[in-house]
Amino acid sequence: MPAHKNNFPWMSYYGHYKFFEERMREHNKVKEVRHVNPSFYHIELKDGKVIKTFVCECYSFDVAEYIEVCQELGEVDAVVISSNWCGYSPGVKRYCMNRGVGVYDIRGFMAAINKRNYWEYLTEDEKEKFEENGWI
Amino acid sequence: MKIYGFGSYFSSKTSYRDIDILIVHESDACEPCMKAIEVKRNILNEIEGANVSILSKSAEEYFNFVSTSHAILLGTVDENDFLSSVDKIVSDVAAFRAT
Repeated sequence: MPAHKNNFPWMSYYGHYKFFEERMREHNKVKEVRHVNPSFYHIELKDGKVIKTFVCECYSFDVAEYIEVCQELGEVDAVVISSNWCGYSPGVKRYCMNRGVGVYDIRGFMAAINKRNYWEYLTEDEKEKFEENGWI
Repeated sequence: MKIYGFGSYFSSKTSYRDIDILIVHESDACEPCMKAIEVKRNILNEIEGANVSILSKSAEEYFNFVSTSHAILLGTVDENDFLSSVDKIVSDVAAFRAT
């Protein structure tokens, strides 16, 4: 695996997120993908909603990294961890969900934007984990 | 707050590309996260080539990061006087390759 960059914005080794962009442009709920900076997008849905989306390849995304994102970019609506080698903690998923912010991998984000309250989307594994912890 | 070292700098006797550091803080609450971010910035200023990851204790357990990355404990940071703790860790990191 090529190494990603370990400090903010935890950019992909290749310096782009073409795979993410392609998946977004193919999605039937997405009207437009606006590339604000190398790791930040405004995803406009067909219902007019705009999701401010930060994409990264942070090896293990947790609450401190989310706070760093907000310090650097201001508030975001969604965080997408782009690489299969990287992940996010259940803690940051819950912390962000409580603030109306979604945290996902690409597949999760694609599923989530089909929902009105996209930040509440949980995978089956996440549902189990949240139930185990008594969070839902 | 605990500071660990992992990766090639700490595991290989020969070459290394960067110096990987992990900060583990107590909880997901905002204040411990902010302190961890401050410690990270200090480490990045003091150690050239450092890459610093931050995890709460529960996230570290979830990823099993310390065990899977064979991280070694470099020290504990006194949150009320973190500058002197960070100084000590910085000099220990430098000494790690000198020994």
